[in-house]
Amino acid sequence: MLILAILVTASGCWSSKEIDVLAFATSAGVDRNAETDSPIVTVRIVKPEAIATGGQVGLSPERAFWTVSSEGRTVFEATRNLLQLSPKRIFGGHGRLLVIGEDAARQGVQAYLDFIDRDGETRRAVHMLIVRGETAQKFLEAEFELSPAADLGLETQLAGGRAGMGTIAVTLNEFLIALETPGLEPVASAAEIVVKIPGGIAGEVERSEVKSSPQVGGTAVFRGDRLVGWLDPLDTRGLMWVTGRVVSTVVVVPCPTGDGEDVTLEILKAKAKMEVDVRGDSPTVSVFVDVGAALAELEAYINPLDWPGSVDQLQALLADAVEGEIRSCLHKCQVELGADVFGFGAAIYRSSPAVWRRIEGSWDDMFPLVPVRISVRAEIRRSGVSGRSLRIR
Amino acid sequence: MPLARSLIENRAALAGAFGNSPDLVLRDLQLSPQGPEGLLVCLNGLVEASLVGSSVIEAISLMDQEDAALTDPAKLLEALRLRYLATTEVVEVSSMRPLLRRLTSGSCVLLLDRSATGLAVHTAGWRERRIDDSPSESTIRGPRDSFIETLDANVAMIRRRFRHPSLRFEPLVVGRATQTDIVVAHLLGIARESIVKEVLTRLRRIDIDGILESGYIEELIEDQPLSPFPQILRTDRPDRVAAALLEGRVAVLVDGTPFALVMPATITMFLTSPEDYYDRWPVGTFLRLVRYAAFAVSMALPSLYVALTTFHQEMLPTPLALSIAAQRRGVPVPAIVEAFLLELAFELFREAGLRLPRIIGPAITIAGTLVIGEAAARAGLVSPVMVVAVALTGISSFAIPVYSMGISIRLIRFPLLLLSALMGLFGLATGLSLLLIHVCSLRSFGVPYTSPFSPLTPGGVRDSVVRAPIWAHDRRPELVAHAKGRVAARQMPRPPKGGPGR
Amino acid sequence: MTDGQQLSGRQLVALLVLMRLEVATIILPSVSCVDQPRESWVAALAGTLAAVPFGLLVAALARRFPGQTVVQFGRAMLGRLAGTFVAFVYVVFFFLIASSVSREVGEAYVASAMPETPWFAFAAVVLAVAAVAAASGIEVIGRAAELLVVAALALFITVLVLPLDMMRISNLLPVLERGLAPALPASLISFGLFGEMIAGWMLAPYLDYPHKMGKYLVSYVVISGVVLIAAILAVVAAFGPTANSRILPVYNLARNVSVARFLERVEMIPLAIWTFAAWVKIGLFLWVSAAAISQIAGLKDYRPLVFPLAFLAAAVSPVLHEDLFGLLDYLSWDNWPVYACTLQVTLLAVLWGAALLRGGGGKAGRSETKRAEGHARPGRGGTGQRPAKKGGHTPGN
Repeated sequence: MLILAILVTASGCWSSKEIDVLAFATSAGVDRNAETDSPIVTVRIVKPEAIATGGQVGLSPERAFWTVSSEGRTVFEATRNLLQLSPKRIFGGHGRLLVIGEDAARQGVQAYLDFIDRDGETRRAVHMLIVRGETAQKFLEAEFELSPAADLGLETQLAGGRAGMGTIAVTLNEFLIALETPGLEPVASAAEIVVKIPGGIAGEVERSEVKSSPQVGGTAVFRGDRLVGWLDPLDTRGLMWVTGRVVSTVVVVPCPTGDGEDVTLEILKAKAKMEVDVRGDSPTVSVFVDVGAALAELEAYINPLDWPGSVDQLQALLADAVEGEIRSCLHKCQVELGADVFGFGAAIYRSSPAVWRRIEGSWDDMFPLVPVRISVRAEIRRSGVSGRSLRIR
Repeated sequence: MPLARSLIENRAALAGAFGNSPDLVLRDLQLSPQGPEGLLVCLNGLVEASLVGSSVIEAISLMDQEDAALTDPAKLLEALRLRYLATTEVVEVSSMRPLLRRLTSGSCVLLLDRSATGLAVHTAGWRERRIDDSPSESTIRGPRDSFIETLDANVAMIRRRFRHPSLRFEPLVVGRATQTDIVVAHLLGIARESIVKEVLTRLRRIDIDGILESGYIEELIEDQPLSPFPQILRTDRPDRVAAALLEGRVAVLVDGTPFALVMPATITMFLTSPEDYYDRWPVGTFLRLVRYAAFAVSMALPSLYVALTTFHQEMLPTPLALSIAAQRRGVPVPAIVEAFLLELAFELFREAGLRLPRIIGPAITIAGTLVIGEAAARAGLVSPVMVVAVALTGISSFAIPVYSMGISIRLIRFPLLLLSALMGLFGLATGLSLLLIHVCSLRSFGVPYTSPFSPLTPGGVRDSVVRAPIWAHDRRPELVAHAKGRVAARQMPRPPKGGPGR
Repeated sequence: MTDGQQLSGRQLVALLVLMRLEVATIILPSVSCVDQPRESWVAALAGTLAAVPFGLLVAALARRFPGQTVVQFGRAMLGRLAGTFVAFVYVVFFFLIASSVSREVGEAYVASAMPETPWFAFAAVVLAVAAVAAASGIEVIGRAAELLVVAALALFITVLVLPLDMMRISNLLPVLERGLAPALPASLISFGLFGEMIAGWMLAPYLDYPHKMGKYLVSYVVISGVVLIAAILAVVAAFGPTANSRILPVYNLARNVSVARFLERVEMIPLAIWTFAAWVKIGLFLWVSAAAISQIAGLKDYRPLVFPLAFLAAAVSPVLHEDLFGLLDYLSWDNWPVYACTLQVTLLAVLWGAALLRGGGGKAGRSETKRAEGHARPGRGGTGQRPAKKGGHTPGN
């Protein structure tokens, strides 16, 4: 017993850190200094009072976070240099977003990612964002009106998949797995900064004008660890159809009555299957997509008697729309970017490793030429609470 | 020392035994003009005066002529004993020791000249407390009687619950100066004889000047005096004692205190309340689970809080972490010290609340803790979340039905707090591990403290974690008692065949 | 404890399961010390299947010598010198594991939750707790294990199930792309760890139903095997090819859990499991070592040996491995597992061989009765938990 007591008290508490000396960094960003090629690390630190449930409904006059940036020869060194600028110890344990500037991404992110993965405080579940046309630093300085801590808000959007039609959510874990998996190229969410005009915003803002606001949409495409291009939101959706990541989105198709009105279909479920045919030396890929939708909005009036026929037409239109998006995305990725973000190569590897080993070396050249057969099956299951739309007398 | 034949000698001896005590009453009697002189001795306050008057003095005066004419003291005493003295118990005494014992138990003693034998007449009737609700273990549903300080009354309360003669009481006397009466109760044939024998052996071993409370005995006979955990159950509820006896346990009742001891005791006994059995079984099960949770909370919550906020902040949900961080701004002391201070303050309030007169006691306890805690938080001395944590812990410890266990847990809380302050969750885990090792090595009269969980007896678990319906209670704790078969088969109520309503 | 100590079958299984689980929770060497984590589950399955007959043989050997520990029957069959040598090898095997595990725990804590603290602090404290447990007697350790194992298993499974959204079956394919043979060497890892059940040769005299030992050992293998394979599958499904970059796979898995945006970061669970499992395992092995040594040396009581052994283990632990990488390398298949498997199989073979040749031991009765008192086993003279003046406890309880 005595020994135990001595041991325990002598061990002290090296690791103890009081909670109020911590600065909670909810987002981190990496840029590259173009001249010196050294990383610039930025962190966004949330002020606890802004989030504390003290019952404050209105937004306080001050901004809810600080950003701190510093530079170093490596990411870790830059992070350490941050400590000089912050009186509180920066704590990455609650990080939500990892933002990388376009410039840095184009040069290759492997160097940056190692520290982040190795450090015990970061989680692999952080979302990766690549900032288009700007630096991560600027991005982290942008904020939302509605949610003072933009990170939590963004993360909710991404995780819930409801940020809009063409947003893909990629965690660090997925990114790293894609990097190490043969035949699959990584992607990350694309983000950009929208410059706001002060005064033109709904909702009271007592702070000094909100200068810029973050927005996520689209995809950043990589080859290896280098950024090579972007997918706009519709193409992103194409990617999501194929990889089965569609959560909740809407597709607008022209109304079958042919008078220029539109029908909006809400997608309830989308499943995709990829099959690879490796006979011979050139593989072909077949993608089967199964879409379930609900009729969400009907701009024109359709006679109920025509209903079954109309539904068939709508389903065909939906399938066409989906196939179109996929084709567009395919074209972009295969031809323009040459990045196998769908994982065709990985699919080949999974089904017949021997074949993959043969073609692995030349996959970069083969990928753009791989014929892809798309087959979409769409089904409209529901129509909201109304049966038919309004009929104007 | 035998009595003398001479009344004068006896009288002198008695006066000498008690000195100048004002409660010694020596009343001369003349049974009959020719008969020997008599002396009635009793201790004022211990006897029921009217009883002495009616059953002894009056009875003597009502002797019929023939008996009154007897001159032989022996015959006279015989006659009185068999025919006239009007109480339940009349015993012959012929030596000083038993005579004094009877006197101090409330009998009055009748001595005659020329006789070395006297009669002790049971006339006990001191003021005793009314049988009332138990102040420490009250229930909503269930019997309201609780033990009082008189052994006979307590024995009666138990006897009333067991009509079957297999209920046995073994009397003992313990304590040199106090000569306290003790009774060991058990159900013959159901309790294991080895355990009963062990209890008696340990009790007989006791050599101490006085036993004032059953707690003294508890400490003198328990297996592990150095453990923070109680190994003998103390209760002042006869229904709890009766239930324990039915399970085959042994109870010890001590004169002078309402608290009886029940042994062997296992850890689950300290977390159950008799009320579990009086309500229906889902309620009982639910409340039991709540109590187990309270057990854990009251032991570990402050430690967990300190460990998380000082060492492992990444394990808190982000909004909570930020909230706590915001609250702790400006608090001058580290979280550990804050926790210690608040815990000590809470204990202080609780103790103060107990000592205060009953009128203001409860007010101070509740008001004191929360209001002062609130004020301290407002003043920035402590963070509100810590006040909440400490208050929650304290309240949980009240949910534990057996007071001795609740106190033990409060004690354990402090070392755990210290350990978690030193090494975070690892320290907490270490503390809990040591506690676990200790608990696993405890035995109460040979029964492992952790049964029925380990060694695992499925029947036992049925009655500890959940409260199985009464018609499923077929087994007694295997290590404690012999017989199974408490409940006949197929006792579960079923609707009659052919549907209800017939 | 006095000689009245008994270990129930459940307790034995609980002890062994926790012993196995400890390594799985911390490092899961089948995944983190392997080149191709995708195939680890095949290797683990192979190791599990091989462990079943091994367990039966271990139990059968113990059954031949009812009431005797390996020290006793080893010496009886191989002669004093050789038998003592075998026993000594046995002791050293377990002692080194005890020391190594304490190092593992220390390094794990440093790598995960509390990086500033020197690992030795954790190792020393865990060793101290284990020593207390071992000194309290095997029955206490057994009871504690019985109480812990259910919760530990349930929590472990929960940790594997919660991150379901992180897992992709595609990470598990293709299976065995290079064929079965390259995957098999890794099975030595799991087999070697299963083989630690030869600790049962010291525990056998305490069992309440000794003839059921085979059943107990097989249940241990099956339970731990299932859990182990589930863990491997979960980790690989979640982390894909990056799985073997994780030093603490299960911990990392728990870290990244996110359910309903509230239940996040449940890494407390693996931390708790491995802390408790660690002292159970180390305590068990310290007890085994101390008990065996006391039997070899003919001492009456094993207890005074426990704390010195613990000290020794603490002193040895920095020497065993250079650093964390040394530890990981040590656990990969071509290091400790080879040595462990060889030792275990050799011991089994040697002892069985001697038993068959010498015809030693008897067929243990297939009787259903509980073991009677009075068998030779490491004693514990002197004062017990209950001071003698209390009149002792009720025997047979």
